Amino acid sequence: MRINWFSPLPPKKTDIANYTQRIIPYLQSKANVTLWTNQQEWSQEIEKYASVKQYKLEEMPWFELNQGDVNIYHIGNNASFHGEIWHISRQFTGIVILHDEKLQDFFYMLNSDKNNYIQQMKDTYGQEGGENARLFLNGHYSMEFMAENYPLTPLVLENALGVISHNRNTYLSLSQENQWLTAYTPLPYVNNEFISDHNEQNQEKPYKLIIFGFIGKNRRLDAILQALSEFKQKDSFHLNIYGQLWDEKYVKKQIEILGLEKLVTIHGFVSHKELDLALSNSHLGINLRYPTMGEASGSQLRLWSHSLPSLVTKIGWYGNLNPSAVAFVRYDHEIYDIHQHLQNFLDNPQEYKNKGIEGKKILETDHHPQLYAQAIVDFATQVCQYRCQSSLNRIIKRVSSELNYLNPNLLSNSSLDNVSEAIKFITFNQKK
Amino acid sequence: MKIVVLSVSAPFIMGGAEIHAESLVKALKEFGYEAELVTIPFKTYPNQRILDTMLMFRLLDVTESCGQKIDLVIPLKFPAYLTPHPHKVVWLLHQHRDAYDLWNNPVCGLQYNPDGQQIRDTIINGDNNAFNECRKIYANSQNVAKRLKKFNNVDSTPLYHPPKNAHGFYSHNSQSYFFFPSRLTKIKRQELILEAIAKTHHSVKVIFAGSADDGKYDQELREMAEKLGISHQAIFLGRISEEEKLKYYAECLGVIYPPFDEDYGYVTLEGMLSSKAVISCSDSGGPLEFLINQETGIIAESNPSALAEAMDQLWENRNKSTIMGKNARKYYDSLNITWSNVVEKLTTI
Repeated sequence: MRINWFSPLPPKKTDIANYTQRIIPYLQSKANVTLWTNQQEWSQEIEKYASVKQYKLEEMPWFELNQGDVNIYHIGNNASFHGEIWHISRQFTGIVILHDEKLQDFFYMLNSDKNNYIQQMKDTYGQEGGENARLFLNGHYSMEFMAENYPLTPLVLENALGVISHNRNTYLSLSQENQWLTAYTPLPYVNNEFISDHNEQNQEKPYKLIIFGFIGKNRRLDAILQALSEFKQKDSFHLNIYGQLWDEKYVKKQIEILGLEKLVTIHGFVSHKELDLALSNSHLGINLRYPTMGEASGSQLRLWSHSLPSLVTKIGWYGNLNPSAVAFVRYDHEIYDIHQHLQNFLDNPQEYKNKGIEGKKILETDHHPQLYAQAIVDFATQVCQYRCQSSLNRIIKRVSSELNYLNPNLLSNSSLDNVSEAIKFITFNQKK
Repeated sequence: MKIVVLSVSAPFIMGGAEIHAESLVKALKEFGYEAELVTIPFKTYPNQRILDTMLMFRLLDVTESCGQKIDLVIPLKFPAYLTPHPHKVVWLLHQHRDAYDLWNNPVCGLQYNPDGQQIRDTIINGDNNAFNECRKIYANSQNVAKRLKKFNNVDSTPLYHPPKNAHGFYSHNSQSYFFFPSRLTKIKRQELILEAIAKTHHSVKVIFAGSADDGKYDQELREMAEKLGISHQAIFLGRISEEEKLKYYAECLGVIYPPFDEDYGYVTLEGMLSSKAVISCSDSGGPLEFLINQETGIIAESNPSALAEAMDQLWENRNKSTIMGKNARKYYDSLNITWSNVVEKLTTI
């Protein structure tokens, strides 16, 4: 199996680039993978496992790509990382690994000419879609509203043969559409770096809370800081923030306003090793999201790898996590629920510790990279066998446009039987 | 017995396939059958046209015409064989080679398109289904039969036929030129011969006959000859009449035919009929079924140096060239390549 893999690559600061770097060694042992990128530079480390080729959107090497068996496209919400990948996927059928389900933000960012965005909304959701896109651009609707009601998922999958989701709900919902081959496979977790035995950590107060990663507004840091500042026994905790903040100045200001200078430390971007050490020394992770775009969380897997209990929002992928492995926070009762959990943690830390231990068990059972790599290869094999059937829609569109030209009211269903039989003959194996 | 021969056409293009179809209809009529040629114009670009034409053929009803039953259909090419009929006997000239043996070859046009794989898989699927419903499958050469077995796991029987006007070929004393009649297209490898001319020790002259598929390639070849400094040795006649063709065959020193993996290759047989030695390549496919190296012609490696050496050999040893030509004609006569054999096989269902 020869796979063309389109993904952002390190050093791009995105979880998907890191995920690619980590999964490729496992995948390469089962398939011949070529990494394709439009980046000017990439981590040399990744070239130990797979060859990296650069492409230019306007000069795509279709001949070479056709020498592979299947293209795999990674699509997430950041248009600067995934925009060109989507453009290629529209032209060359393949498998889309959908890292986010709601891609409203992706298309909004992708189109510098917002008329294109409006047209895409109209094409996907009809007149209503186009009108609401206009209203959104005029400030009448929030991005959250648009993402929730107009996720634009079909548009990102318009030429896909198959879709892989790390989110079971997304998988179920796409499967019902009956338009693509669909697969669900839990996000893999790979970390060969230092992981301490959580049982041996210092259990003395203040307990260490941790939040890390690419921290945008949807990570609910505002609410977390607010909750901490209002919690009576706040001195029993210390919050460490690792990673990239959407607006560090603003966060620092909030910390100051809320009087949390001694209880909160911003560490910024640190090495994997340093972050692992910090995670091993932490007592409770905070991994809230609102809104969520349907993504699975690599951060959650990393928390579990350290047997770390965590607070997650009861929404999307997070909402379907095993309750014995996480503690839920309702998005519309964040501060109340955070307070409850902090109090419960103080009263019964072992209960939370057990959740972390359970999380690690889930990680080891369901998120093993070998299983993930095998699932990708198995699905790709299935998709390759299905490719001739993917011409079905193309031929039907062509026929319907011609019939419409002749007379849209003329033909009954029965008179189309021979056409559908002919299309079936061309696109389906008649021996099966 | 009413027989429909099914094929594709390309308006204003006349090549081996078109001659083949017309000749078959003529032969069927000569042997007392009612026969008609039915074609649909086929364009391979853009790729959507391939799917369109597949569907068109599949939707054809040639089971009867004006209330009269059509007893047999003989499709010759992709996608004509997709046409349904209870008595379908394929005589395969070739499949859509871009989807098979030419895939991953630089001449494969399909592969330069982003939907190449999708179209390729659809062609293969449609072909497999079509072959599965045939009464019999003949291939026009061993090479085509081998490909069908290799790529579709379908058995077929090679069935040779004579070139058009086989009786009209004759031989005269050799003049100082090689003759290379063929459509001007990459897969026939005229470029390779231009490079070879540039490497010959003698002032070898090659006359090319035939027009460019795309209407432009002849100019590219002329420019290439110019750059190589061999314009006076590479003569491009364009399309010529049948009579002129027979004359060029008759008076040439030898015939050059080095295509890449040709299905059958009339040129080889026409050269043999004209009692001429034929130079071909070891990867030329169909011609190799008829050539005996150094007895009826020369089989060279497909590189300019090897071809130059072969041309030089015949150029400097005219006597040997003549002997090879005579051997070639004798060998042709021994093969019993006749239309009566073809008609008998195709109509026995």
